[in-house]
Amino acid sequence: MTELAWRLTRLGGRRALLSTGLTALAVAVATLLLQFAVAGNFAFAERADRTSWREPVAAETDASAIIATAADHFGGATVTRVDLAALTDDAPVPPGLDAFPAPGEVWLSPAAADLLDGAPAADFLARYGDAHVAGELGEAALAHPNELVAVVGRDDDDPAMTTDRYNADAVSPRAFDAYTGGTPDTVYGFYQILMALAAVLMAVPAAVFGAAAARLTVSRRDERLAALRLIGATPAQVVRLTLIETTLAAAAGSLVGTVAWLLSTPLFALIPIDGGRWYVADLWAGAPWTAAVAVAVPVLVAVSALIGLRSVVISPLGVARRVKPKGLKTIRVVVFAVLAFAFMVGSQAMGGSMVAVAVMLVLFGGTLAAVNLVGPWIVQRLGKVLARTARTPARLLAARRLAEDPRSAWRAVSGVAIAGFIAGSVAMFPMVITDTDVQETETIAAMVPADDAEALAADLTAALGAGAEVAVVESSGFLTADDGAAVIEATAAGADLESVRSTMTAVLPGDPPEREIDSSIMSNRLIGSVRTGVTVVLAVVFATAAVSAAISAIGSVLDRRQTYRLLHLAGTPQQVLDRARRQETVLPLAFIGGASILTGMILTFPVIGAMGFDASGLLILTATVALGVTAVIAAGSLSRPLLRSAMLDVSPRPD
Amino acid sequence: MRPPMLTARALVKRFGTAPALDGVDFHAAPGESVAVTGPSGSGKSTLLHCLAGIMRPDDGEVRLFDERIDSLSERRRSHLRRTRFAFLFQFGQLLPELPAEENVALPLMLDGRSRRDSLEPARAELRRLGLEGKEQRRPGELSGGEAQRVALARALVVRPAVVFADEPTGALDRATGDQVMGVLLDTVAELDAALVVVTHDPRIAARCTRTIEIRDGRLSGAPRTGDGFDGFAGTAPAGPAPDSAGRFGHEPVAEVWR
Repeated sequence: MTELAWRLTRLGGRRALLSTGLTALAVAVATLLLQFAVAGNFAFAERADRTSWREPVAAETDASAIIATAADHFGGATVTRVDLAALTDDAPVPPGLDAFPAPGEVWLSPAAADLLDGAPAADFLARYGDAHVAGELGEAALAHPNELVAVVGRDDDDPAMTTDRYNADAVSPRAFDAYTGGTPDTVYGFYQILMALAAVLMAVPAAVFGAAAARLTVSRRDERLAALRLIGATPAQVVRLTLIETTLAAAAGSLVGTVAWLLSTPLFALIPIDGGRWYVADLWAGAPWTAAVAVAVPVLVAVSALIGLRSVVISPLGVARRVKPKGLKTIRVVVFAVLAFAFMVGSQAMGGSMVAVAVMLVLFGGTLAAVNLVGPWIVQRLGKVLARTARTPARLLAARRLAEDPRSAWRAVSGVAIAGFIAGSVAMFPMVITDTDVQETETIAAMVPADDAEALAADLTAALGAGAEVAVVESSGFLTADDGAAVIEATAAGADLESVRSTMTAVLPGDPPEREIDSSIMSNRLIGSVRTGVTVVLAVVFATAAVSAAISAIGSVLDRRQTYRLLHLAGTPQQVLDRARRQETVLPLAFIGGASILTGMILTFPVIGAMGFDASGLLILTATVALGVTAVIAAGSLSRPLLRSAMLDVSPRPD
Repeated sequence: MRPPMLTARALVKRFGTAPALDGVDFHAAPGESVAVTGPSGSGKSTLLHCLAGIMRPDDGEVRLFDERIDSLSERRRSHLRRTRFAFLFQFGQLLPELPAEENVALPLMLDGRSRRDSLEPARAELRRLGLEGKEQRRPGELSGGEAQRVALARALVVRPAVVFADEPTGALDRATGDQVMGVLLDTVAELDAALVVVTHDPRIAARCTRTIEIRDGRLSGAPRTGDGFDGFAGTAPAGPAPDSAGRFGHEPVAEVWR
């Protein structure tokens, strides 16, 4: 049977190979994008895992070392500082270091070393007392290659190893015995949720597209399948033949897509998230998952092909004939409305537990998939209305095509609709990047225990001399003293900022001093990451949309080549057909794209109303729309030469 | 016999090195129907394509009335095909997504008529061909004979000078085929148009006013034209007398006058 299927494909001529090749290509693209969506989740987990040594499990007894963390700032950057002090000789060596850091040793990450290259010791190293750089941190210690980390070795009675941190993100000094089982950086929990969301946004269109591509070729085989039935093949045989053929193509595509993904990971690794690019190894989801995706895709395609084949199996003669387009049932709208409503209600009511988040993600994916139910229905309505009002032959042809085959029209525009929805919902979120440059005069402040405040202030005044003004206050900027704490602030010229900060860090144990603006560094990075993420998701969705538009345009020419040829013989200009085909894409694109952007905006409006308006969002939105429309139209026009050759094919009886 | 309106002289068309047409002359007068017969691959369809301005012959010329059409640009020939010629094929020329009446109205709309002005004659044509009440059906909802009559309506709605048909009844059963052929011949006579029909079917050929047979790219029994044939110089519009052995005398074997 497999052999027969293969012979049918191989001997089916160029057109059969072309359409089988299209399926394989579509599946390859879908697989590549799916691999990316899956791997992204693991990549964040890998990053998170490598930060877990910084917050090890506290040891009640037999502790061999003490660890504490803090957020140092240098210029507009945050350097994560890990303070380590050995209690015994067998203190555990941290990952990425050759030895446990001795007191006075500072180990810098490569990026931090670059940043501090040429900076006077007074501006940075002086913060850690009489310290020297002892080595560079290895990959195992870092979340990503661009992370700024300083590991500082200290004595166990150093004030930095005994003073509690007030900063919620910092780890107060804690005795421990091993790094295993530590808590990863909390920010990655947040990123992982965003990534899961992004994965759903990218995977649903890619999967839908891959599955649709299978049906595309199934419908093209209709004629041949009917012929097979007529010569006596049983329905089961026909189904098996087609399934084998489609699945072979899908398997080849999936293999190509997976290899392409493995080869292109170094490029994907350049996408900067959370302040840095990726270790390539992080993006390798691991053999089991990569293989699982590579196997799941052909299975999905086969199932989709099976569904597409139902009509062929039931009525071998019917498929060659055209009947009035079936009205798409209103139940599609109902399913979509129910899912969307459930999602909206759920998102208001749900808590933050992992189960709730998972349920929401599933609902979100379901809603997104249901857009594919309601989309064709809208396209068909649109086609019917336009057909009634059409004046030109091109418009009439386009409108009738929309009403006749709304699904294929939808395939071409669904990607842009989803992209428009994302852009519409994200666009208006204010994403203000705060300026963290050094000003003329800077005030830096740190929280200290209230009892020691006056003494520390006096020490600091002595250490800083006339260069800075020191005061003990209740609050400075965003920093307000907790119970039993006080805030010490120092005001100095901007040029002296780093040296003042170094002196202050050295004198005051616990949290390093910060400018009010330093607290924005973290949120800036987060906003930058979200922006990058949105851009990547939009790019992926657009790639899907453009490829799917190109493939359905080519498919539709192949499907209608006989009619196109005869229309040409009867004197129909190619421009009319080109115009009709363009309108067939652009009309639903304008309508549905606009509607989805609006829906996105309306959904997020209540949240954004309170946050103000951001022009950069409008920029993203405009760029999205322009790019999407251009990509889809360009992709559609790729099939023009094919249309031309189909029209001009005057061989007496084409296949 | 009236002067021919479609004439061709010494047509040569090669595909690769093999000649599909090897010096063929042709003429058709208004009200005349010419059946082109011959074995498969003899060049019948190529002749039709050359006559209809779909293909350019490698040599020779085609004239509609006085105008030479084989040397026109593709654009002009498209226009000509749309306005002066009409085509009827075995099947597949109807757009499956358009209802019958819009299929028929399409050539008129392509020529710039408004939709309303196009639909009116289209409906009239459908009525004339006995398809009243089926204007809204799609090709898939029509029987083979009905679909072919819709295609016929589309061919005739432009009031063509020449109708080209390529196995128009090839996909129909005998009774339906006869019926469609009858309507085709009647209408062509009514419009005073010429009909060129490529067919295998001797019964169809028998109903035409004249039959020519093509073998190996030549008119059956005819010598290569160009030697001894004086062309159309001077007297072309006057045309040949049907009963004379005059300029078409060299194809008596192929030509059967009725």
